[in-house]
Amino acid sequence: MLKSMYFAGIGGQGLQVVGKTIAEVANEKGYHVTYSPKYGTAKRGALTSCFVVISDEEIGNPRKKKQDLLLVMEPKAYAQFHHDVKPGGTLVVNSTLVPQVEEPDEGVKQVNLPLHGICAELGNTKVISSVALGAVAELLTDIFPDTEEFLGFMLKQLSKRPDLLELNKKAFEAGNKAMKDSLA
Amino acid sequence: MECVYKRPEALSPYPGMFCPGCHHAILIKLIAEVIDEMGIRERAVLCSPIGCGGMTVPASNYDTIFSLHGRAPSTASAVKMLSPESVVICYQGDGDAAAIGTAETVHVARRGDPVTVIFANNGVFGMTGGQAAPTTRLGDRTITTKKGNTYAPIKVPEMIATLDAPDYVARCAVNNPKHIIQCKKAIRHALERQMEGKYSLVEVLCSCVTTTGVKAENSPEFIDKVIETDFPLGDFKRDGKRV
Amino acid sequence: MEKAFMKGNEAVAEAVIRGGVDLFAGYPITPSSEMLEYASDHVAEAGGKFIQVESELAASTMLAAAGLTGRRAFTTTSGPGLALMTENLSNMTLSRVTALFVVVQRAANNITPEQADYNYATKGLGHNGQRGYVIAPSTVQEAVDLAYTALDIGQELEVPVLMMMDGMLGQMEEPIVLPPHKPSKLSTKLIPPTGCKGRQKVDSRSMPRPRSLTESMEDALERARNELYQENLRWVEEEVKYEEYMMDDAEYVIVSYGSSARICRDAVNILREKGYRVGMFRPITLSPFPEKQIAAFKERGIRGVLTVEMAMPPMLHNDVRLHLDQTIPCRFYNRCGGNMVDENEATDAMIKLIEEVQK
Repeated sequence: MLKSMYFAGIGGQGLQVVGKTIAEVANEKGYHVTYSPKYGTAKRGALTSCFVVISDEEIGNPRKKKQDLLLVMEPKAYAQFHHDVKPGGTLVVNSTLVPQVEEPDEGVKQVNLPLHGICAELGNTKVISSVALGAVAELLTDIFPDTEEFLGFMLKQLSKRPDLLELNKKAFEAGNKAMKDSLA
Repeated sequence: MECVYKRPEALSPYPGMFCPGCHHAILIKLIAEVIDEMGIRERAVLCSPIGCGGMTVPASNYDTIFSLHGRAPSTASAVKMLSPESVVICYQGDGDAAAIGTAETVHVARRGDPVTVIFANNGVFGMTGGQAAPTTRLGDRTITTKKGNTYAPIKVPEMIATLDAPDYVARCAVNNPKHIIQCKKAIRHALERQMEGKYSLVEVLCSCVTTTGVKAENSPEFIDKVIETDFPLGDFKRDGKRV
Repeated sequence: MEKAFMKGNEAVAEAVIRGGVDLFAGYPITPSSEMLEYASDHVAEAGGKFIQVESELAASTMLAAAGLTGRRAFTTTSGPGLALMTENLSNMTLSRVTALFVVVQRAANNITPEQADYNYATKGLGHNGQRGYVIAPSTVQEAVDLAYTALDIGQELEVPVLMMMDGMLGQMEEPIVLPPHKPSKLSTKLIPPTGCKGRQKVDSRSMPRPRSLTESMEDALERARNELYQENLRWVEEEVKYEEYMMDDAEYVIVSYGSSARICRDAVNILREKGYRVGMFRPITLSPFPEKQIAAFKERGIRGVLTVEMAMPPMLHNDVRLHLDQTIPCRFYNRCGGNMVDENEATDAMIKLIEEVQK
């Protein structure tokens, strides 16, 4: 088993949190895992992304060119990377910020989810990472059948901010439900 | 018979390497006397620079550490950090402390690292043949400013005194007995303050008798003129307060 | 043994601390800064000193001073900072002083990964061209293992140690096992000149000086350089480290190191699946270089060699060519500028080489 993922967008969209959480949970489960962030200067609004690879064997390249799972949060990331999905893989597009998309490549499943829209309904766009994580978790059920494990890890990270727990739990669940509905 | 005068134990018994008449030699002996009087020879460490100041290594009868041109203050800081019992003297010339090592000079002072900088300022690069230094006075002729220096000199104690952390900052000279006595007192005070955990700097005006065209017998008079025109003597900071 | 999931830069700092260290002095530069940040939090906890200084010059001066007094110190930097440390590296090799420099390489003014400081690190540290001991890990675990013992080896060999990482390895996270804490140790090879109580005064080591009145400065320098060169030759025999992957029956070999090598492991697996007898040879020490092992490729029946690195012009490639039998074709596949090498492109390059040999 080898699963390669890439999460791309701009700073402040919580992509490093999404990637890091998946990697940490995979590590706890005893998988080989690499998390490789890619960012420029410490500046808000610059392109940022991260690669996660999970395998039951030792991992060579931590930044695969073709992904099993690709999440693009905004138009520039979509334009640059939307061909980087393997046949049989899934491309998740944040349709709030990327309303216009082309036909996906052959064999690629494309899911358009209004991630920021879901946030707006919750009344707080700062929980975008929890929404995205909830959505992505639904696509990893072949390795992690219980999506609650991601939620659990995320809430553990937030244990020092009890005021944020409920909101992030709701956000995770909303993202997860949206993905479930769109796959159904 | 009573012994009234002898070589300080902290001064090596070997012949000095400085040019006859060089003020460095007077300064080195003063430091050695102070070390003897304070009884700290076995704790003293001299961080030597590149330049004529490097000749303090064979002249000192206590431990020395080599560092590169301008880097002696950082060396001194590291040695003091790792070996807090040592009394660290950072001996520098003006090319060393005021040109290539300006950043080190300033930042060790900014941090208030407990070391003592003895800054021998002779207004030229002596060892390389008397080229203009950042401490050369406006109008002075050197081998690289034959028509007269066009820049005003940097005044290190005045500059360091603007920082908050330094405890003791002074300028001295060794061109006559009165100044020598004052300089010795300043060096002693600087080392005492270091042992209290404070940063101190003493600039000592020196005369280069080989490369500036000033003969040894005229150098006391020359230094008096330098003091009058550009480099006044005295304390600039004492007990952490500006004077 | 303690398990962790850590960023390369932080894991290396933790490993050096666990290996015993007295001082960290550094200056921030991407992509190495996490090591400085981690050191600021943890060096003092283990009894060492931390200082963030005004420049890489000051940082490397402090490392040299620590080495001159027999203590253990480390810093981290990237190419532009390494350039500024040259002054002290030159002096440290000539004075036979050690400290650990962790170089998280980047592509010049771009902060993305590259391996372009290879020539700098291996061909002579600064003026006078003397060599240090240079190691290059390819996983975070290996970085931890090498960093843990780097200062032990440094104190033994009495030269600066450079650990060549890159932006990808420094920033990525992997599961690791951390070794136990051990105390720092004072060098037994010199008298620390920090006070002459109970003995004659000593001067610290410095650039080579005459040992007697009859030895000239020229003779002193020549003697010191000959001594270090003899040491370098001994390193080639005794201090070389490397890894072989699928080399037992290999006819074709990829030679690669660091981050590139872990990517090439994937390429070897792809090529093996396609039925090609390909293996990988990975230098772990870049100086000393595993020159004897590469020269032995001929008698092992190797028919073609591909070098892979993130640098242009090729650097590792030239070292391999220098020691490889000249009848064996040797080609390179390099990426640079912050673009990573890719296992599929490496596979294609190797197939092209194999076709060239078999034609």
